[in-house]
Amino acid sequence: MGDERREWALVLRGAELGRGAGGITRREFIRRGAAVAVVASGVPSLAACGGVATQGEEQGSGGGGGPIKIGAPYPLSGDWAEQGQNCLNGMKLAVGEINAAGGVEGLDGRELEIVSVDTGSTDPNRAQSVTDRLAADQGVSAVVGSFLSALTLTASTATERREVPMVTQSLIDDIVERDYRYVFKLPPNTSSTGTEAVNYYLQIAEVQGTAVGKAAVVGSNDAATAAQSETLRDQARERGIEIGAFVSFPPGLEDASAIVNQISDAEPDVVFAGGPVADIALLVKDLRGRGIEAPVVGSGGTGFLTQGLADALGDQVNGIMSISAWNGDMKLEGAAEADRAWQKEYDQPFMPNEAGTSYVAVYLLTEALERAGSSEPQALRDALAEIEVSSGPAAAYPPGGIKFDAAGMNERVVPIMIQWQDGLPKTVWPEDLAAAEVKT
Amino acid sequence: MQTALQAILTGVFLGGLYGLISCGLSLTFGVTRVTNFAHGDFVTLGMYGAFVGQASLGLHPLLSLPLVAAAAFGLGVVVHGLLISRTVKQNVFRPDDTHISQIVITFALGLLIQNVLLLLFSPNSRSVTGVFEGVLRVGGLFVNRAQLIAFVLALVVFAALYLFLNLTNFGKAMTATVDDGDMAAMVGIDSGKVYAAGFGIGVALAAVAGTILVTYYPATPTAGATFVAIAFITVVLGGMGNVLGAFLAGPLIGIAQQLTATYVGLDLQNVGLFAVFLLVLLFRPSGLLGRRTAG
Repeated sequence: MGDERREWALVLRGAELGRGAGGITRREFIRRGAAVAVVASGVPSLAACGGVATQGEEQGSGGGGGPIKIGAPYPLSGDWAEQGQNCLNGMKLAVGEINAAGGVEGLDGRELEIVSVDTGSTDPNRAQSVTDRLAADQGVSAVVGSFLSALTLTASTATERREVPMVTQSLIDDIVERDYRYVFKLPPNTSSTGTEAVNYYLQIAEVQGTAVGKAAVVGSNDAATAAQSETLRDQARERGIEIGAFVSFPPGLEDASAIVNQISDAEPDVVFAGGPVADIALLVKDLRGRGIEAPVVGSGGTGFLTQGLADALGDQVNGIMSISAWNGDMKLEGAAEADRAWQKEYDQPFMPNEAGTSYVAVYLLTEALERAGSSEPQALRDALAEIEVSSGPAAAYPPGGIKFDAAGMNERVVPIMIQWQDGLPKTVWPEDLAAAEVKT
Repeated sequence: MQTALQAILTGVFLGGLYGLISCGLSLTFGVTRVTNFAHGDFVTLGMYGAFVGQASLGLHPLLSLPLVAAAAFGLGVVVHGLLISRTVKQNVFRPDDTHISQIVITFALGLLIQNVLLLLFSPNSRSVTGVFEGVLRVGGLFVNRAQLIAFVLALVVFAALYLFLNLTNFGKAMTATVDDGDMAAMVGIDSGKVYAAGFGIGVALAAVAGTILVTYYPATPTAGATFVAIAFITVVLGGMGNVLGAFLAGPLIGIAQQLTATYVGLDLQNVGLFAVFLLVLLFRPSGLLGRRTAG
């Protein structure tokens, strides 16, 4: 509904233009309206931030002593604006720290500068065109983006064509299955998060001495979550768990009782779930309201990891577990510092995982810049392909180090399991990264 | 059997809320002939009204409700006076042409509301918590406490609306305008006032539905828009402009949706709803309680 509304807004702006001109022909009116629509959807609003705004100062940041530019294409408007802004803020935090500490040492202390563009939340074509301009006209050395997998898929085709390295915090496998040379993916693949949700939960249950004989799997029917739910179901069967109910639902539920009926009939020992925050909130409220106290485990994805879930559920959020990529309390050098700096800077109770990943990405790029001894995109790409970090903020990513394989996938990465405790996400698995014990 | 009863029960209670949202839309259309595409966004405003009431003033949503309703009524009257009434006076070739500008205006209004809310509250979901929590157990059946209260409130609000329309002079004037606007004006009913009040009450009903909805459904700037498609179907099903029809069609839609979700598949729950809708239109093109017009 919202998208059609946005389209209408463009038509309206066209109409406004038509009226202002007065007495123009219909054809002229349509032509101008179309022009407005093209301008509104295709051209990025370029805004430099993080450092001093120095747009168009120099083309290409290979040589010279100007700041080293890093592109940041994110959804800053629409449904995913909160997460996009979190990513951008995570980058800003890292850039601020690096610049305050004297910039990139190996490049005569040159500072970093973020060039931010808005991809919007709904249009992969726009993500591609704004990223293309970023890579072509802004002289960026690298790009970190674009949070949402659908946007990253197209944005990375632009960086690939312009031969600019892109580090991404997106999840789906396809990003690193296209033989691209310039894309580097930090977090785990969606195909592994569903699997690991089962494995981790079974390990946790074993430690606690709980038996897991039967599970319910519930997920929204969007592509990413549906794929996660299916791999999760298959893995559960593989591990000898009976699937009592497998429910797929359209996101944006008005009511969850049809799902809860099925779960209730199945009497599962654990409920694996995935979907948007409003749907998850409805589901959990209804489950707990009916006295179904089986643990709820998120298969990965934003719905289980935002403050919004805690706000919607109040005390009922405590005990819910979820797969995540990053959490501020992991026992890793640099993570806690980032989390503290975030809370101070943005006055939020915890640093979200997408912000943490973006923060680490900037430190990783800085490490690559030091090793490359150049801010040329090509040299940076080669350094990223070779890089292996295992200490410092650049390695503050589970399990404590980063190395990319030939496809650009972080081959070291493992997901983590968080549990909401006292209204905050706490890392509870794997054991060597955990900051808290699982509570029942 | 148990499952079927549960689905029907949930459908009825959920449908009460659909009915409440829809009778506002139906009233607006019936009185003013305006198709209000921003109706769902007025629901959203009601949700945020209750949220702000609780978060900043510590008000229980039931206490916020009259305040939100009054504010929404005022807003509706202002919107009507500033925007909608101009379209009625528009010099157009055919009377129906005013609908086009009304659709565009209400669309734009909806966009405006969504984006102002986005600016003020961010896209994060906001919730009213700690009221009407939990689920009641009746025999082997479960009733969501918030939905039960929503249903009862919907009945109360609807009864009040029905009495107002049928017993008060102004209500009768409004009903007369729904029946035949031109004739009503001819016998001395101030159509300007009736239009403004009709629009205002429609918006107030949407906002009231929002304050109830937010007790179990998190508010986001686009939350109300989720319900607008269902509201339009409910209005047409009940008979365009027929307030009672819209209210009764709500539970019917709710039951169709829940039965499909339970027996066919959750993915297809709205397919069941559209199937019922098409069937009714096939056999009763003017809706359940709609009158046949002379064309």
